[in-house]
Amino acid sequence: MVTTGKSTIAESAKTPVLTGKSSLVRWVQTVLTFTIFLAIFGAAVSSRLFSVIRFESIIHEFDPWFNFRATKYLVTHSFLEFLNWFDDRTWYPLGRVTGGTLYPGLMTTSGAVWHLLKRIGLPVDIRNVCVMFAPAFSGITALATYHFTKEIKDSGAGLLAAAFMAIVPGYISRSVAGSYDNEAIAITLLMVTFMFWIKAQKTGSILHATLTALFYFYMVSAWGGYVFITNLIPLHIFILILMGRYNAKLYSAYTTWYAIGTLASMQIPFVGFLPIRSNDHMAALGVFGLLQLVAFGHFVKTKVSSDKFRVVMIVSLALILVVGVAALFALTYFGFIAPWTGRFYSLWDTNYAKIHIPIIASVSEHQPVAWPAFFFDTHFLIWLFPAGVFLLFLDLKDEHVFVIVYSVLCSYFAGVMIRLMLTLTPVICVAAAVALSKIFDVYLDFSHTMKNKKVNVSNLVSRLLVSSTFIFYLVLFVFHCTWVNKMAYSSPSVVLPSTTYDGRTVLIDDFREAYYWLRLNTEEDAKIASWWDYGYQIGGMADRTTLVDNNTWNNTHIALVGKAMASPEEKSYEILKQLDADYVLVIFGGLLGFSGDDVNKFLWMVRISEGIWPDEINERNYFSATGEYRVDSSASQTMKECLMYKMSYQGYPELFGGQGIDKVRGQTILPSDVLPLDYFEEVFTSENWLVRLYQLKKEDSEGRSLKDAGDYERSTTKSNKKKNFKKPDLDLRV
Amino acid sequence: MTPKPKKITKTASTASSTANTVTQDFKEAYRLALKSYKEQVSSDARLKLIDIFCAFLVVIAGVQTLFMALIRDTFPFNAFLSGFIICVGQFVLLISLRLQVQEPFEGVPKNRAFGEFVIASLILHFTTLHFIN
Amino acid sequence: MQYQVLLSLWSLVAGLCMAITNDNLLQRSRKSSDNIIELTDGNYQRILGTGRNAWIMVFLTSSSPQIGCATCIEAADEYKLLAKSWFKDHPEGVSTAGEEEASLFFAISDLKDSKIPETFSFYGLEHVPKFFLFGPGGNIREYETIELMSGGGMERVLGLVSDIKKSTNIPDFNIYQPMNWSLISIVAFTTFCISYMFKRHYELTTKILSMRPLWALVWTFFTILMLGGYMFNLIRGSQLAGVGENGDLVYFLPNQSSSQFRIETQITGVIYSGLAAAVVGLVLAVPKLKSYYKGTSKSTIVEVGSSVVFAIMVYAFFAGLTSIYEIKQPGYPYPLTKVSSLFK
Repeated sequence: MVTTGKSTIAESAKTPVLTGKSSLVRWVQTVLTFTIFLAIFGAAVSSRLFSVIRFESIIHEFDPWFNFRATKYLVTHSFLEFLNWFDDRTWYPLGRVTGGTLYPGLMTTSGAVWHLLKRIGLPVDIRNVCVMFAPAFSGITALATYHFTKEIKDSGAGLLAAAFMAIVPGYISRSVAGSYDNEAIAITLLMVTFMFWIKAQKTGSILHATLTALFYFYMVSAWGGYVFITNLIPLHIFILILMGRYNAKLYSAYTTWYAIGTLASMQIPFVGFLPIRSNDHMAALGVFGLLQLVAFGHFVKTKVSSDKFRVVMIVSLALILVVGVAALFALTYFGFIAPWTGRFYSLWDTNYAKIHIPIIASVSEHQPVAWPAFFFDTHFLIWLFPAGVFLLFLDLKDEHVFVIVYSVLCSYFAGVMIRLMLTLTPVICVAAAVALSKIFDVYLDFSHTMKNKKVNVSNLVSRLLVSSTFIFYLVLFVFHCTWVNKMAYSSPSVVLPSTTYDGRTVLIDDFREAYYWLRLNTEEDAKIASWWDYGYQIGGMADRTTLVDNNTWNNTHIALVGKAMASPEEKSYEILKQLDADYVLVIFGGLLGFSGDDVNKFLWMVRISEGIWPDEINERNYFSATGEYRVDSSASQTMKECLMYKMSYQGYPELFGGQGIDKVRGQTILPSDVLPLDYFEEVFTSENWLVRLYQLKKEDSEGRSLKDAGDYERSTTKSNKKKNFKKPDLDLRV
Repeated sequence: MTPKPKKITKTASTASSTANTVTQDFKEAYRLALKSYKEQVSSDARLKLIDIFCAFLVVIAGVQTLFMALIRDTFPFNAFLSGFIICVGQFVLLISLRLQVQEPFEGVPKNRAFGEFVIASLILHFTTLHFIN
Repeated sequence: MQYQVLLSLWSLVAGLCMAITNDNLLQRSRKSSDNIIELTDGNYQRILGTGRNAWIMVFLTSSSPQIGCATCIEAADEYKLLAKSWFKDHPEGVSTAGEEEASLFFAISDLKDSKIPETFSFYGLEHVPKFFLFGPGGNIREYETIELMSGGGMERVLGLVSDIKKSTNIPDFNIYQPMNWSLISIVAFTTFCISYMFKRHYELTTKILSMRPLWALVWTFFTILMLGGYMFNLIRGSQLAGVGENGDLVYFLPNQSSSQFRIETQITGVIYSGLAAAVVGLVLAVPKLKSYYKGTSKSTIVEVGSSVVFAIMVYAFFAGLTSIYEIKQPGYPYPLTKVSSLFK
């Protein structure tokens, strides 16, 4: 099916050529455009289905599991109940006001789709709606990109951009089947909003501006990244004003958007009064005020002689600027307006997050991007993009300014944080499509050659050469995209693919095995302590209460769990008892060579808890004497005593008959390194040891401390050492 | 266009006379603008209507703010906010309409502009109603 | 009996003589401009291993190009800053701010050429750079290792300082960052130039400022920098280039698509610029040349020639890009230089 994408691109390039006047040509053009759109839609959907075909129809990763759980709640309860949902099964014992702290756009949309399908007689499982949600919406994104680029250049560029958008890996990375996340819908809405915005500022039509505002509202309801739009549109206007390009159309487009959009965005409970309270939104308000003044000034300017007007303008502008900035500072100082949020601030001061908010810095999505990632995600668009920006600069219509501002800002943001690659991808597609269609305009236009009787052969050859090389790059692009999707973006990360020695592919299903075990073998109100990464999955798949999850709203609570993991057993036991936890879950990849396990994440647990209890936890104590992060016999005593180490390696050397080899870290663990565990007992270890579950032991019946009891036990059963370790039977798996 | 800060200082040698010229310029600008505005409004009744509506909105917004300042409480904050924002929103919509009545944008005839204005206002009022509780 | 007394007396005296005084250390420090004592095979036993009442920080490093330790060179500058700041506040090397008087000196042992200093073999060193902190007393085997944080710059210096403070109980150890005069003077100079231009040549300046191609170039360049991973270098403080096993220069960090050297940004920047320039050439320059030579005999040659040159330029640069990408991601199936692999 992806080959359709190839033919699509080649065809779309030819479309602008056929600008004949007869109705037949126009008719053919319409049919062709329609066919191309169908093909693009098909390519967009089918290239995102790898994961369903290779694995199964399953929700991916971490956050989607929460969204899925919330959607299930939505379709089984009423909408109002959903908005007032207080979830007592996460963040135990605090709970989470889920209804008020989520962006409901995604769930509401898929809920609506589900109801619609049911109404027209297609009762589909809600899980399948969720899995297929992102591919379906990526088709719509392609359509929006087409209209957006059409406004920038022409329909030929539009078709190219749509085709790029459909299969570009940078976008597929967040929208494969099963990655049911906010971004899946957000990029669609982003493009639709921008498309209407471009139309609005071009025509000045109030209707278009209202539509922009409505889609902006939809965007606000779906993704926290809406702040990007809130700042980009004002910036566009501001730069246009600086360039002296103010006109009445801008006024009507912007003010209408701002008034309706702001009011509407405050309807979302999670956003609340932020649009008038937080500094992130103040730029939009400032430009709104500025535009009023400029409009007034414009009116006066037409009446008063220009010399005098200049003086009046300068003086009043200076006054207003001073008063405005002073007011902003004063309001922030007195606490009426919240200062910039940490996440936003960390975009500008790149060291900010590392020092002040380790929890943000710890997330792999927030790392800076090295150049191969750009190439990997966009292939040859990456070099067409700067060319496109340059060419747009030379035309520089009002709407081009928008694309340029978007490109420059977003390429910076994407360089700082890998997750913002997603917002850069659409503009890469648009600018690259503009550059490519300009090339095709020059070299693929044979109308002139056809008219001439005398054919200039060498000219024809050079044209053919240039256009054929670029068509070749397009073909290569399609191959590259397919390769990337197959390679990188199609793994659900709940089920891991693995190759055995004889070359067969096996699926490693330890996560689901363990979660299912939890679901069947523990009490319904059991509380599971684990690092926050697994909170959503435990909630979604095992349906058990968790202490912390991926929502990360309470840093202290996360740090407390981190402290429990990093402390010696007695202390951890105390902390976990206070938190009323029943089980502890750790992910251990040593046997399998799975590098994303808890031992590798452990330093972040230490850092985050060190941020709160610097006296008790010190990162340096976890390094060996030579200053390295080791887990073998040269590991520091603190490391060996901490709960995470003990739980990860408990019984591991014995599995190999004395010398356990950790495949992730390539180190050998001896039985003497692993200290006995007295306060916890192992209840379950999955097939490949990926998930290990421990239960907190009950207080000793004879009143001894659990350590003493353990010591006594060991001294009496020293001969029977094997007893300490028992791998649970696999019959438990159902 | 914000003009580059060129030679303000050169226009007058001393500070006091600069201030003098500036205030005079302001007076002049004010007088001229008012005059031409009056001419404009008297020629078109629709503009007059729109302007009266605008003034009315400004007054309402002012009264609300005053009320809030007097009782020294913002308690139903969303009620106040929606009341205030709808005044601002309606105001800018009216100004947008006024700009188009004065000089229609290309591709948007006057009748369509009015239709769009009505739709946008309806949406604005609906959201406000929803927000005010 | 008498001999015994004499012997013990003599050893006492000898011990006193052998012991190294603060003055002696200070003298040795003053020898170098950085106030850092250089440890040699001859003197290290005496400095570290005899009785004294000063703390000594030792920096074991290698500035030899054969070793190719980039961190060492970065750390050496930071170490100099450390020593300089200390002696700025304490010209005698003695701090009296704490509960008791404490003195601190800095020493360095550098592997400069192929000869390995005795200190390295004495402490069984396998990796450089290392920081050892020797307490007062004089036991050559008793020291504390101070961790070197990853990520250089001020942050690392401050980390070292806080570690020293913790260990030695010296409360007043402040870092004086050297004023970056070059930056200040550049900023001042450009500000001056710009304001001068505004004042004198108002017309010209506004003309330049409103020149589209100029702005276009600036921002396109900015975008290319960002796409080349410039922010990555800035945030991670990556080194300029690496050194291979045989001591040769390595430009590309192999097999790592999520990390890079600084020089990679420059190389990819050149490639992207070349590609963008060729595309712009195809779109703008070729039609312009064509209309310029219209009607003349050269017109065909110029048009065909220029378009072919630009097309080849695109191909060459793109092929270069894919092949360097193959270094970062081995097994990349679509490098342009091996086009045949496509049709297998």
